[in-house]
Amino acid sequence: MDSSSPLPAWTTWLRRLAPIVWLAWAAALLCWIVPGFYPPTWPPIGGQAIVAVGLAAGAAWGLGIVVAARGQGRQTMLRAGSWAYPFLWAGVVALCDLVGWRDGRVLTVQVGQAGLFLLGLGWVVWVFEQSTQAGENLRRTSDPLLATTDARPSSSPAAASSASPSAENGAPLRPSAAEPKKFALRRGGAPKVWNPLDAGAWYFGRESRFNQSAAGFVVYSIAFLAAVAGVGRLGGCREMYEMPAGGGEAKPLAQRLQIQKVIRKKYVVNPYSSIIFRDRQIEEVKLQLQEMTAHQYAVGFGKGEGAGFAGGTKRGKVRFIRLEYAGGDWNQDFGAGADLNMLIEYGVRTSQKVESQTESRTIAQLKNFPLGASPPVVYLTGERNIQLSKSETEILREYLLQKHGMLFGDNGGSRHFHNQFLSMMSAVLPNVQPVSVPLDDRIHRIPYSIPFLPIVAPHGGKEALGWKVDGRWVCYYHPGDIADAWADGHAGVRPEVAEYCYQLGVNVIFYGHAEYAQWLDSQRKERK
Amino acid sequence: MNILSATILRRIAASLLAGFLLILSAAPVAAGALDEMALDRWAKLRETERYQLNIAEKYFREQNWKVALDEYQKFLSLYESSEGAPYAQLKWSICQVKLRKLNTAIKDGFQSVLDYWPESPEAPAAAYFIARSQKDMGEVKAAKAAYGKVMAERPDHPVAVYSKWDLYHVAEGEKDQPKMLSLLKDVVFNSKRDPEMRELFHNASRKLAEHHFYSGEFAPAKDALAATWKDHELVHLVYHDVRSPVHHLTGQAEAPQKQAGEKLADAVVAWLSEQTPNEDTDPGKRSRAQEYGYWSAEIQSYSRRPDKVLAIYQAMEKRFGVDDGLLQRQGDWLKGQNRRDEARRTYDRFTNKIESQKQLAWMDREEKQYDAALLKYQGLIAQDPANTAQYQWATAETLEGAGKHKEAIAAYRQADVHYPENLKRMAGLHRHLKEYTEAILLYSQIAGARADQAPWAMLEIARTNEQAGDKEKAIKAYQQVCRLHPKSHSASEAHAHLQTHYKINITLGGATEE
Repeated sequence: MDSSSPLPAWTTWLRRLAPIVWLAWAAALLCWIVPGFYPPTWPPIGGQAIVAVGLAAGAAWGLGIVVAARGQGRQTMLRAGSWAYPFLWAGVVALCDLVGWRDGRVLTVQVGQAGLFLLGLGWVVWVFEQSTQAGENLRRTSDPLLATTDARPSSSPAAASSASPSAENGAPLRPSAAEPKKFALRRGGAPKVWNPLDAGAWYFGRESRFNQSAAGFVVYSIAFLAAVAGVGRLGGCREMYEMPAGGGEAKPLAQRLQIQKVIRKKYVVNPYSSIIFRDRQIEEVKLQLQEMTAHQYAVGFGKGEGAGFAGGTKRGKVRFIRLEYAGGDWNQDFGAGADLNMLIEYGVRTSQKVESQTESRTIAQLKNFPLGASPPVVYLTGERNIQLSKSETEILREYLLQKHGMLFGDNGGSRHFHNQFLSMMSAVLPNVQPVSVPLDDRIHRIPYSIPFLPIVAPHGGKEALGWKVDGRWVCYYHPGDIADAWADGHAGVRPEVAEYCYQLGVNVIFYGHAEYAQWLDSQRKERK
Repeated sequence: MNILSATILRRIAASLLAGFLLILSAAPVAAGALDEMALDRWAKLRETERYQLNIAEKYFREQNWKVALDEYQKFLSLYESSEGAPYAQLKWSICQVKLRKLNTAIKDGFQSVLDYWPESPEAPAAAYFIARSQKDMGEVKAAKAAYGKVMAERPDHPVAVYSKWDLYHVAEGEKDQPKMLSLLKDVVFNSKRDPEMRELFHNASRKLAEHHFYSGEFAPAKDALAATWKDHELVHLVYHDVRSPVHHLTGQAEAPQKQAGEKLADAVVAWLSEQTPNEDTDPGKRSRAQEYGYWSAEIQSYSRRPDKVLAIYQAMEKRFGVDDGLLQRQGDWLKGQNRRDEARRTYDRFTNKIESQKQLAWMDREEKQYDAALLKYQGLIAQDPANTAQYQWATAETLEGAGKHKEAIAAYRQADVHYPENLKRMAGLHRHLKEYTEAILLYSQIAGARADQAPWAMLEIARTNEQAGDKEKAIKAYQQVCRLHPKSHSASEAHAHLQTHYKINITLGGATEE
């Protein structure tokens, strides 16, 4: 150990509190990233408190040990830093989540993973070096020839400092009585080393240190990647979709007419008068009929305060998630000025809480959403190819059927995409045939009664297609580029077409959520 | 084009007939017989009732569903207790189906027929339409149950057969082969045949035969077709429907399938031979025998065995002698085998020298020997002046193929029998020559003259402007297509092009499809 100053008294508390902090931190981490770890039936505030307290305590403890290690030497500082790293990393990620900085969160996660990899690699190398030097010392003392010819002390200070405790204590460096039995004999009776941590192991060959390092790097990298993937599968990369809490009814919105008086100026001139009259107003009443939508009830499903869904949570929001896929332009009209308009409109029209940004996920990422907390609707558009791997096809099928999801497809610009979409759906749901969605179907009536199918351009015909499973639309396909009407400028379409496009968007999103909420409700009742 | 021989025309007619039959088999069978009222019931209506119902029927026939719906509604309001009321209610519901309001049709229409007039002749039809509407809405489970109920309650009514046929389509969607087969057999062999349902039985027979043909089974396939057709019609259907399966099976890499295909072809040819009349003195029977001989050769050609084809043609030559019909078939087949010199020699043997020249000119065009083809067409104009216009068109096409665009334009201008196709070709050639103004004028002419081709012509104007480098005009023209013809396919292309090529989102389209 380097030269060090005495530790402050408060560090004793850090040491004593360590097990409690670690436990709290682990519990917080599990609540945070493993869906269902904190029982959904319990009040959400409890889970939030556990996460907040646990992560804050972990971050504070990590910070504390780093502060305490200052001035205690380089190695102590490194050790403390390594211990503190995961706690501080989790804290920063949580902080990004708290302030809603999504890009920062992604960046922190990625940079943090890279840092963790490098940190681990550093420690792996350190362990290798320590073991190798210990092994060398051991062999030197046990081999009479080496002991006599190479009895000088090691020139490396690191080697000296990292020698085994017995060496530090000045005891002779020799193997214990049991140790020789562990090793097979190699050339001329020398022990054959098998320990992979020791570069002197016989299978590392001549360039033993290099080979050990290379092998170590490969093994460590594989182990790290496997761990990351494993954590991802176990829930580390899992995410939840929470609908906004509340309730409401799934029925058509009531419409009312507002009558407004308009006073129009009228001028009367008397050609025979010598007096010039000032303009005189004659009141004329004109009825200007303006159709307005009256929110006479909350749009939603189930019993609860405010517009929302019975299976939702207080922090839950309606999100607009677009699917990423290979082969085409999944990101057509993505984000601000485009489908974000739709999400905002949905919030305004239904009074439900909506996310501030739209998002995108790969099809593979749909697997990360657990049963009961996956997105009720995902959106897919484009105008080129759709290429799905076998696993993606299965994930999409699982999402639609098992996870009770819904796909909202939109033809963004070609007959080719229409064929691609139909072919994709035929692979995903081979036994379900698409049908024309009736104009008087619930999806076209609630909350808005839409008398026509609005289209921007008839890329895939003029009829909306649907795939129905067990009485539920699992896929709604709009053939005419509905998203273009949502975008800024509404593609220059007539105002009523743009309005119908928004209404249809609201209906489809609402249908997906209402169906999902109903399903959650029935699942809950079945469990009871 | 009149340059085709009588043989070719016969073949085209046969192909068209086959195509028509194929379309019929692909299209869902309309339940026409179910939505008509018997004449004796019409007679029971009062004059005013008949008048109102006729008005509604007129709009229904014109497919003006909205107006027809209102007229049926009016009838129901005025004559609720009339004999025609259940019929009007049924037709009202069908109008709702046509307007894609299937839920309304079921709840307020078909169900009302069942509730208020359960004993009426329309009740079975209403029950069937409920099932069918459910199927069309994707409610497969409910539809299956409803079809089952219809079949159980009305086993002898045509609705039972319609239900089986619809269930066959459901099984097809679910890829349930055993179910499909059992339903088809049930329809073809065990259902009561009603002349009104001829189309359904035709389709079912052909579907069943197709299944057996693809399995390499000739006898059951023939039986399936024989359940609906007899004599020459049966022979024609067997010949027509066996070709694709034979071609498919013999094209497989696996030996058993290949052998099954060859065996099937041989079986059909042997059967055709049995059906061939032997009395060559009777011109009608002789002609039929020749026809069956051609069909046999064609089937063997589909089985990829040229030696068998040649053997059939040689046998025919021995039996019937050489005529232009046989030479035409042989020439076509040799051309298909890429034995072009032999094909030329065969065409050259035609008795009808005009026909021979047409075939040879066409071969010249295929081989890009345009000058030779042009010479032959000039000769044909002199020899056969009655068909000058057709030869001029062929000349124009040849000139276009030869890259002589200006001459081709002049030739197309003269060949106005194909209006507006000639204008389209001329416009295309002007674009090749970078004479964009002329091209746009021609497209405008097409747009003005033919409303159905206006979206296409306007899209081409936009493309021509783009080709000419006039972006502003091109964008305006693309936007005009979107604005004026928002429901057309051209609007879709224009919209996509504006977005991808010009990054313009304001395309001015948009429509509401009722």
